[in-house]
Amino acid sequence: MSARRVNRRVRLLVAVFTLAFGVVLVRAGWLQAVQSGPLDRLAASQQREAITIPAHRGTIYDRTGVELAIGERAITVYANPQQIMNPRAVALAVGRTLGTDPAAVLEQLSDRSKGFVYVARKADAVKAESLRRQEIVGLGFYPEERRSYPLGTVASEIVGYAGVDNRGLAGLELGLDKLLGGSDGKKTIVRDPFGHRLDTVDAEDAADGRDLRLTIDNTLQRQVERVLEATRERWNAKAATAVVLDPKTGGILAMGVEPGFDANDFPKASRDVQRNRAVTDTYEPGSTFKVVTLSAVLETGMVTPTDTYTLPYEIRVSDRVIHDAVPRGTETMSVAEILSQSSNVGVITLALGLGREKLSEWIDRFGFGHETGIEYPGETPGIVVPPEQWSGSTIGNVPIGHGIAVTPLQMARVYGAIANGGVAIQPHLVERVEGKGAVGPARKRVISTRVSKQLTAMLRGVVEDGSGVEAQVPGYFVAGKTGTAAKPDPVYGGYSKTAYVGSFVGFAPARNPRVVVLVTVDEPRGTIWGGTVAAPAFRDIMRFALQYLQVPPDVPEEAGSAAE
Amino acid sequence: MTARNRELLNLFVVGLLTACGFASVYLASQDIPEFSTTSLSYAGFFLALFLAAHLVVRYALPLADPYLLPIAGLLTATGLTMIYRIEPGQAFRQGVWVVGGVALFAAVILLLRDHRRLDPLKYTCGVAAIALLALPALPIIGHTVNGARLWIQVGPVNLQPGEFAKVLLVVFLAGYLRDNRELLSMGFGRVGIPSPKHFGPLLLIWGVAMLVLFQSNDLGGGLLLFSIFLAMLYIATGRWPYIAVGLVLFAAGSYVLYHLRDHIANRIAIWLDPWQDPYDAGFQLVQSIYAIAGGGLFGQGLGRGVLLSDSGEPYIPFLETDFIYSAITNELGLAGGAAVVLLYLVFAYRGFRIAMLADDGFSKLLAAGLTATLAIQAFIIVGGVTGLIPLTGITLPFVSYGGSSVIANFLLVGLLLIVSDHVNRSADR
Repeated sequence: MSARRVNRRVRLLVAVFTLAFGVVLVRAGWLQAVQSGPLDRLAASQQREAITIPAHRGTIYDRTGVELAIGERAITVYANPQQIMNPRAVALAVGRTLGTDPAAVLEQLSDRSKGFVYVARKADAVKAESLRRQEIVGLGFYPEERRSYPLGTVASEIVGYAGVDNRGLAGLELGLDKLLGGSDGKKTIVRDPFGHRLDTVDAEDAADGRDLRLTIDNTLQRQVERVLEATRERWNAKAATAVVLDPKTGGILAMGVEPGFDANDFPKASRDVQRNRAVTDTYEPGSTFKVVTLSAVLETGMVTPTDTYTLPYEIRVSDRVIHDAVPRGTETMSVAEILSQSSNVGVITLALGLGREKLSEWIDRFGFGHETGIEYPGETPGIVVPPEQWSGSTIGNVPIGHGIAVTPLQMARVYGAIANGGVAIQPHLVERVEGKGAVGPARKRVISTRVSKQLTAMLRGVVEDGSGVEAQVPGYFVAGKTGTAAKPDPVYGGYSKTAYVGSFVGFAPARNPRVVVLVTVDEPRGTIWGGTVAAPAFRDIMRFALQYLQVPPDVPEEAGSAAE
Repeated sequence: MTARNRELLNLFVVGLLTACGFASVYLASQDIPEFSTTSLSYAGFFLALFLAAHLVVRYALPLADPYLLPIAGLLTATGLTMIYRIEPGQAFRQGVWVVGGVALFAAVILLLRDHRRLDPLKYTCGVAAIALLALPALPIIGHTVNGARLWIQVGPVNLQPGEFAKVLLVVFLAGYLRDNRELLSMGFGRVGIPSPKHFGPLLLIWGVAMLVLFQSNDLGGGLLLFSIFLAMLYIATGRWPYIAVGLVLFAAGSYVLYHLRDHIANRIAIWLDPWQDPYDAGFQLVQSIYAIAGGGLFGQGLGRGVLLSDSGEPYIPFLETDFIYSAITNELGLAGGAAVVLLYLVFAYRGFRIAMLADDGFSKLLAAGLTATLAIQAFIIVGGVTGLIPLTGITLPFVSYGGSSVIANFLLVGLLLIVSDHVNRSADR
């Protein structure tokens, strides 16, 4: 065997090994010198991982157990752009599977300076699952909840909505966010050699939010919204608002605002239509406020319902002359007739006898100028001018519901107190919070049972043969009051000549009231009178509510009254 | 300076490095660094062990190569230090294996004296090699670790017979190829295409390698055996066609097995893209690459790398066996990793130098085969953990935790030194 030839072969082998180990060293140098930084960042990102365990957000039910707001399973897709080898292909796959715009995704994935970007927040669970099955490197998934409102526009102004981070942004979702949202858990995990959890450090369990049961009845609410929509269209009004209250419990059965919006699609709704005007907006109540003045004079014993006054058509108060709505000669009216005929002159005459201090006390006693304390966020207390700031003519305005700003809810509460034998109950939307004992709503006697009965009788007169005949509901005795007031003119000051709020508020059955309904119509066209624009809506809502709640009629339906 | 004094000096350097290594791991493992002589006593014991090996060589093989033993010593020390850093309990067991390895090393040198006495035993060695390879396939004693059936259990000890088989195979091939060299070298044409009937031995070894692969799922072992064979066949015959046909056969066989066995298919898929499934299938390789990259140029420092989680589990499974190179580079950086690679390269140079100086065919082939074995094995595993070639689970010679591997490699160095002494004696004459 030729040693020289063999040695040449060995030398070649030496060269081969030198080359092979050289390549190994080049590879090591590539990893350790060139790629060291990026790979280090990758390594750091996978060895410790912070995870948020989202708390389940409480479900909101109506009083019948129907879901108004629920948390649906959704999956958030995120990406680590530093791990994505081919952003274009991944963006296409994401776009195809989730139905999102691949161009937007590509832009995100191409930013290699970031280690975390959202690809899709709260994507459809089924679609995201199919994306997960494609096992694309660099994409991550975690479960989240997506808030959904099964009834859409129904009760949207009450319930409000939660945003993409599952935090309440409006309505009860905002007002009761802490209760509903619970608190998210946190976990920092370290992956073990097999990619499973090894150590969990700083674990903090999620505390799920609580379920809420509202006093709202979805059927009633739906009907209220339907009636309000028809009313608003009929009178070409800016808005229509209604409150339906259970006077015995203070629970709000329905609270509607038209125009409304779909809570599932809240970003498209203007802030204007999202307001729950019954709580956040004020109006001048006009004649519906007269019961406050009447309550005061009756309760102080200054007059009785049958006392009579001789009243001219006009009355001069300081520098102003106030007259009744309908021209007439000088008449003698009983206190009851003053209310049922809604005589401004009569009410002011009574108020002058009472004095500003006493009247202000009663206004305060009925809760005006104070928030009702309802759970809804952004409630306004209204505007009540304190007696020391009254001008000479104020005593000619306030007693008849002018120069005072109230919320529909405050007004509904006053009629609720009258309906409930003089005891006002804290109006509320939440009947029960899961896991918490029921706390009875605050009760406050505002007027005596005697006066409440006297007022109820007078208010029945309004509906039977006064300004509120449109509010009659066949088979039931209805008590109520119309109201019409010019809106303050924001441009010229003083009062508008064209913009009015027509309203009607009342309750039924008059002898054992079960439902209080208040309707306001904002800026109706054609006519302005509450008895014309709001009373029919009141009637429609009240009739439906009484039937729906299976309230026995006061009188058997007669052929005559059923014929309408 | 005589070769032995040179060796002694080298071994003292190795002992010093070992002491530094153990001390720094010991210090890093403590919250409040406090010096202890315990770590130094480990190094002292280690040095004593290799001094004993040195004395055996000085007595029996005075003219043997002075670098091979110190290189084996430094690699062993590096391995022990790393294993001590990862899992101190295993370092003790590994130490016992090293003692066993050195004992076998001494026994072979003292008892065998002359490697040529193996020549008549070449067929016995060949049969023994195949028997050892087949052992893990037997029921009861054979068992599977991490998908590869490579182990047998004898009493309380797990052995990997394949590690010894490779040395025996080299002995067999050295004798067989020397005998049949002329026949196998005959060929036609300028490149000398061998006659088809001479492909017999090639096909036989290929068949054995494929069987090993198929039976044990051990891609690394099969590749190692077959590469040793091809390297020795080339040295013996100088015929390229053997190499070409051999490589094609191996590739074809692997391809078929690729489709037959998921284990092998997975290994290839992971190599092509470890990030396809970074937390499951690709986990080992991804973690290995992270660990290597994390080392940077000069490493995190011995004992200070990110290798273990808070609960003491290694981030990379099989860290102290298959992935010990990743651990070394994480803590010693590119510099430390390159040093280890260069040690193998220097070992290869010294080994092939013995082959070139040898004047008989058996010695040449034996030295070249033994050297190639060690170098190929180092390349396969280092290339694997760096993602250069598909990752296969074989040990890094002298460094990885594992008794069979350490003992077999000391046997290999012992044989190589015997050849070296013999070669240098003949050169002196």
